Amino acid sequence: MDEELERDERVFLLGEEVAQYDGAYKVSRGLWKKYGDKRIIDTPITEMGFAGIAVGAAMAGLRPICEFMTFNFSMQAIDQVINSAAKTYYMSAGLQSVPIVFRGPNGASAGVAAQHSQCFAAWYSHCPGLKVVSPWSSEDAKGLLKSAIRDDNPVVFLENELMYGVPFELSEEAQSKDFTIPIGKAKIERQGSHVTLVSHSRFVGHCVEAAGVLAKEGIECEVINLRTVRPMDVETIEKSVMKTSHLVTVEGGWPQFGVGAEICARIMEGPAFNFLDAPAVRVTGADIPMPYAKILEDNSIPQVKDIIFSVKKTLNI
Amino acid sequence: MTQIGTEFAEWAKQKLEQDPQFMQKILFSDEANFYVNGEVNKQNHRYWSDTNPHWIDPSKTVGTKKLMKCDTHRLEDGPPTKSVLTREDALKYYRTMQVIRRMELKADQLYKQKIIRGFCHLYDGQEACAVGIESGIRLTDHLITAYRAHGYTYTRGVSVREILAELTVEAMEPWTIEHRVFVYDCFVKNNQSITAVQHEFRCHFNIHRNKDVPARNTIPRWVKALRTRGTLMNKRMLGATRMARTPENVESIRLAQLRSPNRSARKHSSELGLSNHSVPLGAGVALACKYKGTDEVCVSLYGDGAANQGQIFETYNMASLWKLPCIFICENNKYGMGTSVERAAASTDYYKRGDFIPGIRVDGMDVLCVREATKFAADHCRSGKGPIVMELQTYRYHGHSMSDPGISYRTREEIQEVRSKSDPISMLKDRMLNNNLASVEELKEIDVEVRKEIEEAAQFATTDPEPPLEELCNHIFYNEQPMEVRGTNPWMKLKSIS
Repeated sequence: MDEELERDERVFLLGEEVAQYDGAYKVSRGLWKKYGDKRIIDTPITEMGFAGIAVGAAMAGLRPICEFMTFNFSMQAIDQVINSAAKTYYMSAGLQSVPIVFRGPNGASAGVAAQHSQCFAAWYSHCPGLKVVSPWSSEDAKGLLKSAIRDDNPVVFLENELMYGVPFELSEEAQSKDFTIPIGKAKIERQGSHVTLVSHSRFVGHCVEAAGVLAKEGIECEVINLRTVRPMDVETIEKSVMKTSHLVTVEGGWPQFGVGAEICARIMEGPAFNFLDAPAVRVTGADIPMPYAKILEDNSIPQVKDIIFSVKKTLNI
Repeated sequence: MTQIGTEFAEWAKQKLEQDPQFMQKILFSDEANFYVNGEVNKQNHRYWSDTNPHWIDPSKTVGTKKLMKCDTHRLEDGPPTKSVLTREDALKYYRTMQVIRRMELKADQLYKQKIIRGFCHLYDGQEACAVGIESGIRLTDHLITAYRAHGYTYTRGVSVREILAELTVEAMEPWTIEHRVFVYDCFVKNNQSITAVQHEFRCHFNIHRNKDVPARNTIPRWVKALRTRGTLMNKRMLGATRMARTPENVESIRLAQLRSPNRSARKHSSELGLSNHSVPLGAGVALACKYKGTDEVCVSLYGDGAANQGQIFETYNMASLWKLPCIFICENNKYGMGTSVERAAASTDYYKRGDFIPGIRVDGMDVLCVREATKFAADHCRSGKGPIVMELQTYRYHGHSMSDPGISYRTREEIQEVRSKSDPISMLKDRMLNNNLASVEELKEIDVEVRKEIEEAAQFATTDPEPPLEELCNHIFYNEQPMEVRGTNPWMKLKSIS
């Protein structure tokens, strides 16, 4: 964000506690000291109001980054995100664009319970006019955020609180100030030939771990990191499925009408269906509001063992 | 009663005594409304003189008007109570208000003909607000409103033709009565041969061979409709079922020069589908103005219905905190859909609802009052004092939208009273005539010109072809490579160009 703020005068950040508090999760630490009140704006706790203000500023030509403290709070402002931001370009027949980024942590954290743990990937990906991006690694986060800020359309950027603290190695290329990752392309994190694992955000890490364990047993998993949930890179998934003939999707959200459901439907409608040797399987969060007690919480989100179990079931081992 | 009124009544009585059928023998008359309290509305008087009535005394091109004093909240002084109106401005305002009035009435007609579908929220009665506000701000300022937007779309620079074209764009049956009459005549003449009718139709109306003519089953339907129900139109008779007293005289259009219809659409005005969005979005635009350091202001309009929404108060808070140059304008037309303001708001002093934000209450039927107040508000914002709230007290003649007859929650007498006492166009007209800023003939000419313009715009809008299906998925994203969009079944892959 620092690099983008520096690069383009029109970019600014607004949200709760982003300035003097250095960010609720310290994502915007140091930015206020560097850029001041004009470009880093603390807002009162009025999501609908400030989301609307951010969209209005985008319509007037600025490039705001609107931070929601978690995406759960974005439900207060969802009307502005969908009706004002996503639909406006279409409704105005191309006259009025809205170059805005809505970002914040999404999905389950640790012990924050039902009202603070919902995954919104499916909700936002449902809407045409929005782009929904969900990074996993640091490289993803940097490249995708830069692309999102530089994109002239509304982008919902779903981060993950538990991933904030996880370090990743950044390649030389990724350290440059102009490193961007195209929105709409998935990445194959690990090559494999027996089963395709598709995931986004934190669970990509789980998939990679599961793949490591399964490799010892001779099962080679191909792990795909979606990176962008909407528009989804179905070609990469299809190519992979045509190679491996088995598909397991992994996500943190609820199963009904989720990201995994969409992937399965698209595979069915496409050429890859004929290559499937077993029905596609979804590994998702449990279909309940998130409980608080640790043991219950642990059983409500996909674990590495769930992935391993599902893979073995799919392969009939 | 006035002297003239009494004389007239005596004369009429006399005539009736001489001939009881006298009233039925009157071919035409002009209307003038007489009131018991002595007021006379002389809209339709003709003046005869022996000098050219177009000649205007140049020393009388400017009139100074006294305006109603506005109530203020947290402000030391309000907008000025005196206003100077030049002849040029007066004519401009008059014309603009007439265009808006006629356009809205035309939209009413088109809706009844089912050429406009969906919702249609009309603005007649509130013209002074749109025109007054526009004359109080600069072209480079911004304006954002909700769905009752046709007036603002026009004042901000979109032509009538474009406005009507957008409303009628989904016309499924763009056949006007002219087409239908022709078809009927043709049908009878050609001994009921439908093919012949279609062929003649195409020749007569010059329709390209790839475009549609009325379908095989449409033509007999029209013929049957005329023979059984006595009408060629689809379901309702044109205007006959409506009881509201619209002073529509669309049939008396004369040929006149068309004023230039070409105006570029400007980005500053947005039409939104929901009623309360405009407020935070407007504050956002104001934030951008402040950020960029321009001295533009943003006018955010909302109605008395939306004024109770939470996001408006959230916006007041932030706009005031950050001193955004935003003018919040509440168009109080006394009814939020069907609920009167007393039944919806605990406090109907909408200009005070900003609490810590200063406010002005303005007579929204007087274009000059609105203009002065808007100028005052714009200056307030431009000088960095932060936002300001304006309440415009106005009235809408139509119901909330076209599906609302507008009389179940208010009386016809009320509508009629407002129309006769405080109609914005009549008010301006009376002022202009009283101060000799224009003659009746001039205004009549403007009226006729305006009607011609609207009629032509409507003609264009209704015969304008529908958008081609290829456009269905365009403009989803801006500045994007062409992409594929899924249609209603998996095999329908549509193209989207941004």
